[in-house]
Amino acid sequence: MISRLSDDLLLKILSSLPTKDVVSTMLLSKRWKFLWTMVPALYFQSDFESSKDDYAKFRQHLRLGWHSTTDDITIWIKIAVARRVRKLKIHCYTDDDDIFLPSCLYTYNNLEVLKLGNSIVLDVPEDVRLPSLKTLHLLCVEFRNEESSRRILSGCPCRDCLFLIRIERETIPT
Amino acid sequence: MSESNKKISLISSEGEAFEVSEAVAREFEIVAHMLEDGCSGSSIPITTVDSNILGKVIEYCTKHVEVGNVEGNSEKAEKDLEEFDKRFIAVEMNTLFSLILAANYLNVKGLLNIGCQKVADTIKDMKPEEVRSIFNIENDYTPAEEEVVRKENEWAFQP
Repeated sequence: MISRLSDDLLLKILSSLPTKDVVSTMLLSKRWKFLWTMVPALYFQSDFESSKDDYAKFRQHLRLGWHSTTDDITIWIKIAVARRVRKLKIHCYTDDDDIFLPSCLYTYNNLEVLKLGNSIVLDVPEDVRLPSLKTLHLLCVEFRNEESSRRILSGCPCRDCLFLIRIERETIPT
Repeated sequence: MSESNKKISLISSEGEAFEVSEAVAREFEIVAHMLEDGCSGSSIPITTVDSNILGKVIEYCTKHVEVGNVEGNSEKAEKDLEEFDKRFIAVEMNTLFSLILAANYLNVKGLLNIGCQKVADTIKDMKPEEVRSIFNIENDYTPAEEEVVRKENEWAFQP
């Protein structure tokens, strides 16, 4: 029956399902356990009404949510880069920790759209190469230092759209 | 004989010949490529698809070619085609999977899309147990393993 279909075809089917149904398929059998993780587009949204317990379970598996840590985000960005995503949008809110992004993001050739917001701190390395970047949104992100803002703006030459909102906050100690 | 009247025989896995117009045969992208690559034979073996399924795929392509040929393609024709697709794909599961496999092999994109969409629509909102049963999926988790997976992802399994 359905087991006659290749993984590619199963992924095509999963791609037109809501994320909740996609994730549920991991329970079907061992073949399906990790299949859903290969679906090209997943949409996650955790809301404030979810109980803390639900959220903990959610994050245990996906390690992604409003309150992610730098470690969580680093893993997800590395996966995204390995899977050659073209659009990346990250908004985080944390109470205590600032979120830093891994340096591999700043030299990622295929990235076309980058939208970052809130508790993210850009500590931009000297080597920034984002040749495919067309759209860059930086909403209330923080720059670790002046070099960081200069580097990111000069490292992405072909922008269709640049959107920047800065807020003043105390300088982060280095 | 003009180009549009040219007939091509598609041979099923059982050796049965289905005579179709070149326009219909070209709906199978795999056949279109063969013709473009200079394959001049008038009979093309489709060895992985049986007569029952090949007949259905030809029925689908014939309808789509017919509608595509109507001049001044109206909204009504498009609606009719949608209705046709809906009826066409309302088949039992085993046939549905065979159609998906054939559409994938022959590269008939429209049919592949409606086939996959039909499976997705069937799965949507179903409990894993129901999906297993309808698609005949053998549950090879031990009860303990299944419990672990379920516990980790309760948020997804809740109604």
